[in-house]
Formats: sequence, structure tokens, C-alpha cells
Amino acid sequence: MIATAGEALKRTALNAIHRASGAKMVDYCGWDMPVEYSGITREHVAVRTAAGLFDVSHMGEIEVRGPQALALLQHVTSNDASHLQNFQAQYSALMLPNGSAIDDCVVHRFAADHYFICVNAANTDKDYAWVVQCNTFGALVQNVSAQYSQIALQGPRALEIMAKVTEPDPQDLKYYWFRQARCAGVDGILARTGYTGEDGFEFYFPPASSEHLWNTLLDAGKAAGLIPAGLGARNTLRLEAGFALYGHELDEQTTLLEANLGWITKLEKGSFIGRDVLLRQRAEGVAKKLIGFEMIDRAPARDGYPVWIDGKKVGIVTSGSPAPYLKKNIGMAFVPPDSARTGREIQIEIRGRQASARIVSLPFYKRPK
Amino acid sequence: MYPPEFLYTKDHEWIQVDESVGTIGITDYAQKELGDVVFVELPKAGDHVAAAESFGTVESVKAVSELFSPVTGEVTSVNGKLNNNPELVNSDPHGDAWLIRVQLTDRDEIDKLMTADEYEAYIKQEKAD
Repeated sequence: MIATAGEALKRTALNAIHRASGAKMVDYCGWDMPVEYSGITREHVAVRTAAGLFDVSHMGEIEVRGPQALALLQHVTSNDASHLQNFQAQYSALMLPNGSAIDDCVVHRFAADHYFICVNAANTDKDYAWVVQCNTFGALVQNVSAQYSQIALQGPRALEIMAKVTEPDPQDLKYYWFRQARCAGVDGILARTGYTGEDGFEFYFPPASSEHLWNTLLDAGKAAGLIPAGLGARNTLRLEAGFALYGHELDEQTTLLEANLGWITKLEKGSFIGRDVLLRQRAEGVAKKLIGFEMIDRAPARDGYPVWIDGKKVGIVTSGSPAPYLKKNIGMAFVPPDSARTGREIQIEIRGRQASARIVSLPFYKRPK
Repeated sequence: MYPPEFLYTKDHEWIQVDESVGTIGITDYAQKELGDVVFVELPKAGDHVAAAESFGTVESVKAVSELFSPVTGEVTSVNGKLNNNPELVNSDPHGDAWLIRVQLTDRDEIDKLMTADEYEAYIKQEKAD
């Protein structure tokens, strides 16, 4: 996650605004990004109770076009893109032959011959290279990341704030659907998606309009309690919501079934990369299973801490943190499948000592309907 | 900002020495760097601590930070308030959120620590780096 020495960090079009606002900046996968503005807890709670505005322009975008676009997507992704209608989006994974994901992603269908994939910042280049390599179908594949800034407006008051500055009214945009929209006078792609466990929107638009859009949204949402939120809160929010983060719950050694992503793994849709391994795993069982846990002892668990069951080291914590809204210390970890029982007590090794935790069902947090 | 009667370490702890007992905490700079503090783990009264060695941890939402003792000695008391109110470390790092008190073994150790002026120059340098 640390950039190569001597290589300049990449900046989003909002970098100057973040720095001017006094945000704490970090090197995130080679990007100079805000980790917090006014404090992770405050930002996290704002997203759960009002709204938060995130700069996620570091995320990558890959376009797939042409009559063979769907054939390529069906081959390289795990979910069934043939079920998508125009302007519908789908959580999916870009697959490797061993049944693991090179990345998780959101596939958007504009038309039968035009798709738009949002991928993780750190993986964009390797994702693009891999999709191009898998493209024996003759689809047109383009890395269009530089053409887009992306902001996420998330929280129970996101809709009312977005509606104030957006045409057409985003009210009737359904979860995991998107449309062409004009937000603060800026034309872009507005999707009812997010990574926080709350209602909200993600807006893709030309980078030149970034500062104007950012300031307009913050002004429009001020009375509703909207504040800027950084990558720190983004991580704790997604953890409470039980969402996987690539490099933590997902990597090139973990199959989708092991990572609880069976629901985006459509083995019956026909051939796709990694399917054989996943079919075998479905029949024979997985090697490890992702679980959620809550600490019983007081110290927080952190990424990388060892997990012990019955006196044996059986796995590691993939994400562990205090949960600012739930006010508990929570985490996710891989354990042997026969140990992955809700309610079971496990031990987390914290600075050489064993601390008790309990396996709980995921997600930790579900928003009230 | 940084009380002149305190002495400071490069790891951002402060100590206020009164006769041969030192009160130890973390600096305002340290709490700002950490962000929202949610957990503090400290030794017990009677435990020994050694200069420049870890005596506990303070954890924010984002990070775990080890605490390093400015001096060698025996812990005489521990700030129990931090068990239930770790956020005091953010709101009053130089006062209410003191961490431990230590009976010093060797009072000369404090001669190696920084004064408030030296510490302020030191963090200015750290910020610039």
C-alpha cells in the first residue's frame, strides 16, 4: 500500500480543497488522500445519522463497448451481467483462474453494447491489463479513469441533499440503478450505490468541475448536518456494514466462496474464469471461511492479529477496528469452516496475549428501513 | 501550549517531576496525530517501567500507538478514569488524561529529556519532514 520511494503521489482534483480544509492526508495505494477531516468518529456518526461527502476520485473506471461487450463481461466477471437492464448496476468480481478475484467491482450497463465498471484504485492498472488479456471476444476495452472524478454522498439525509441540486429529481432512482443527471450544473452519471451501509449516491463527472461540485454539495447539505468524510470513516463504515475490502477480505489467494461472496457467484450462468475451481469447492467444501466477530475483552482487534481456536492458531484478522457507531470492537477473520459457527468463542492474539471474542453473524450493522 | 514545567520525549510523552515522583502523559501533538482515542492500556501500580521502553498502548479508531516511558521506576498510581473515558486523552492530554505516576529510580535520567521550547522546535521539524 506504500508508494514506491521517489514516485510522486497521485492527486485527485479535490486535493487542494482537502489540504486547505486541514484534512489529515495519507498515502493510500499511491494516492494522497484525506483520512480524516474533523475526526473519524464524528464523520462516521454523521454518515449514520445525517450525511457525509467522500472524495473517491481515486477509484478506477473501465469501459467495455461493442457487440461483444456482454460476452467479455460474462467471461471475466462472476455475477450474471445478462440480467442487467439499461441503467442498472451490479456488484461483481473480476475473476482469476484459481477462483479468486483480481478485484471486486460494480458493473453498470448503459446499453447492451456499453458497460462501465468501477474498480478499486490500487487495482485499476492490473484490472485493465487483465480484462484486455481476457478479451478474445473483440470488445473495446478502455481505461477511462482519468476522465472521471467521483464523489459519494452517503447517509439517511443524502437523498434530500442531492435532490436540492440535482436534475432530474433523484427520488425515484432505485438502489443499484443509475442515470445521466445534472448535479450542481455538472453533467455526470448518478448512481444509487455506496460503500457505507447507508442510502446514498455516487456521482461520476469531469474532474474540472470537482471543486465547484464539492462546495455546492457541502453548502446544500450544511443545514442537514452534511460534513466531509475521509477514508478512515469510509473503512469503519464498510466494516460495520460487513462489506469486503480488497487486500483484506479479498485477494488473489481467496476464492469468492471463501469470502462469503457466493451471492455474486453465478455458477449456473455458463462458463467463466475460475468457475471450475468454484464448482469443485461448492461440491467439496471451502478451505476457510470468512466470519465476523465482536471482542468480549476490551482491547480492539486489528488487521493481521492471529486468531486462535482450541489452543491452535487457525487464521488471521482481515479487518479489525473499533466500530464508532456500534461502540464495540469488531472484526472479520478467516477460520476453518468447521469452526465458523455463530456464537462460538474464539481468541484474538493481541500483543502476545489472548483476548476473547465471539463469532457473530454479518453484517454487524443494518440500516433501519 | 506545552507547559514549561514538563519535560518531553521524542516519542511524544511528557513528564512532570515533583521531588522523585513523575507524572507521565502523552502530548497534545501526539493526541492530534492519533485522532479519536478509544482505548488505553496501562500497567498496574507496583509494576516496573524502564526509560525508553514500552509501558502500554493508546489506541484511536485508526491506529495503535505504543507508550514509551521517559524514566525508569516503579508505578505508584494509574489514571483509572481513562478506562471508561479514554477520550480524555484528546480533550485534556496535559491535565486530566495523565497516564501513570512513577517513583523515579534515577533522577538524572530526566536531564536527557527536552524542555518545552526544545520539544516545540522538535515537532515543528517533524511536521516539516
